[in-house]
Amino acid sequence: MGVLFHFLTKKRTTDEDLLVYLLGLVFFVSGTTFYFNLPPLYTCMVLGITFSNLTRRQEKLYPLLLSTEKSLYIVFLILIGALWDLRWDYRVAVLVVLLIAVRVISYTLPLPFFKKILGFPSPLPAGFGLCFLSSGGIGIAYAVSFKLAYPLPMADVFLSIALLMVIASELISPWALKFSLLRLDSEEKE
Amino acid sequence: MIALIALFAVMFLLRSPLLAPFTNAEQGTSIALGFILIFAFLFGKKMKPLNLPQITGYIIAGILCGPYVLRFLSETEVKDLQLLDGLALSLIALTAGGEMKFERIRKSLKGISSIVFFQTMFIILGFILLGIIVRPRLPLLSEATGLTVLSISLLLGTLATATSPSTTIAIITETRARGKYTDIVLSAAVVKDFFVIIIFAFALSFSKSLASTAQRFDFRFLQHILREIGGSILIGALVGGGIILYIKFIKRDVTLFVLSVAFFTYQISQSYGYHPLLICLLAGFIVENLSTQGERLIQAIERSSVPVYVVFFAISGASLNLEALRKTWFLALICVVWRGALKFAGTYSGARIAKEEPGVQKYSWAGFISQAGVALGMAIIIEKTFPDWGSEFKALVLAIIAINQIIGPVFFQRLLYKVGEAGKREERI
Repeated sequence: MGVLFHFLTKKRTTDEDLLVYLLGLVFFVSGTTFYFNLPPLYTCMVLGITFSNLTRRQEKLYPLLLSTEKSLYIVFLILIGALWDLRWDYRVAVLVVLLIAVRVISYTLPLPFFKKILGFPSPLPAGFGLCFLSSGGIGIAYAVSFKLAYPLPMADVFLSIALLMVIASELISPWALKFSLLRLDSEEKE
Repeated sequence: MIALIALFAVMFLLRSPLLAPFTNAEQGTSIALGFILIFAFLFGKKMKPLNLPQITGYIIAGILCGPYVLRFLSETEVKDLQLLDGLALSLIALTAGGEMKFERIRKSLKGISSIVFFQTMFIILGFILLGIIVRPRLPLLSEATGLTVLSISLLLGTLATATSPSTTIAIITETRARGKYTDIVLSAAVVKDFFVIIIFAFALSFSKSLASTAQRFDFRFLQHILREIGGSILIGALVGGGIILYIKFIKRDVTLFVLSVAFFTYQISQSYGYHPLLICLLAGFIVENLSTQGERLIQAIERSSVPVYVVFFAISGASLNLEALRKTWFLALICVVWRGALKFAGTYSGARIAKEEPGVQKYSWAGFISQAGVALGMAIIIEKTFPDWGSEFKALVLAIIAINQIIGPVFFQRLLYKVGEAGKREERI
């Protein structure tokens, strides 16, 4: 499909043509993967990689992709809200807290060890790993893709946990990023 | 052409029984959307060398891939994709309103109202006459009482009056037409659509009271219509005002805002029984005529409307009931020819009485042939209201719409080229 996309856009195409081909192929490819009960993220990524390595018109496509993404992203989030079957269970809350704690620990604790092994030229503050806490859209995409490909009762719990984690991470990450950068700044001054 | 064939081959393979054991047929809507979007778009482009409008290509692509021919799209998928109809119709109505500059229309106001009046009168009376003439030869009418024949003919005439403003606007946009003919056809199509809804409410109530002796002609529906129209005008003014304020003060993501307004206006207004087309038309008209933001509104719509229109027209082709056309094609063909003749007579008389130029008198009828959503919606209401003969009636109307929706865009495009108005509108940057 990436090759077909390249073929379609090889000739002189307007922005309107590009938008139609882009949307059409994304729907077609993701639909085909769903049709075979597979998650579409990987296939769409391969579509993007194939096209961007064949085409010479990335500079035209990329802004278009960005402008389209916003509208689709909003629709995507609204649909996720509609898909989200949130049934309150204290175990879900506990699991979310635990998983966030695991994420924070796994981003921060091994850092001194890797610093030592890899020998970073500049000093990194201890909390530098907190800069990577944000997971955003891709985390949600994974969770939704799992739910759509495997419509089991467990998938609802999985989606709830993933969405709550993403929301919590998005709430914590600006603070964590600020904390980490301020710390870097103060260590550099010292 | 190679891309078209490649895509066709992939879809053929995907829908073949060979792969059926490995697939999940319930997950087909996304494939259907992606496929029909690219296939119809490429097919539409192939119409240019044949001097046919792209819309005809989209509709034919929809018919070919739809549930009656190649079955690449199932009936369920077609119904799922009709969710986009609301968005497309709202964008079409917003564009129509945004293109109606009052200063320009004012000059042809007499001609427009005269054409609308004579067309409506000729077609309704003409179809009553046709019903009386063909009654002995038609199973639908031969066994019915005189009053039922009158009801059926009256309702068929009302439906035949309707034109598709969406197709009209799409052809104008595609040919980048501007001028006197374009204004007259567009304005008359929109105004007529508005009156057809009112006439239909009268005709339906009248037919209901004819069908049952227990029921008397109910004038309460007038109050109902007034509430619907008044409410729609008010909501349209509010939506138009909201769009002006947003474009003027917030300015960011105008396309996204307009798309959201179009979608939600349609869904919400329809749920509460208002007329979404009237609301969006008025909103567009207000933005164009009461502010300086009309150009930005149209730009915002044009930036994202092509994929929506392609899917809308392709799906309207896929949903055309070819089975109904097969069963009633001869009578449908008679109705189409008769309707065309009455459109000509009505337009000619209206334009002549309003003293429009000879070209308008002779040719502008060709802009009023296409039919789509409004007529279809009315046919569905009739089917539900008159269970005795409603389904046969709907089959006939569907067949008429199928023929008119295929030939209508071609007639209108030819008109715009003939009178030299195609390509007169500057490209928006």
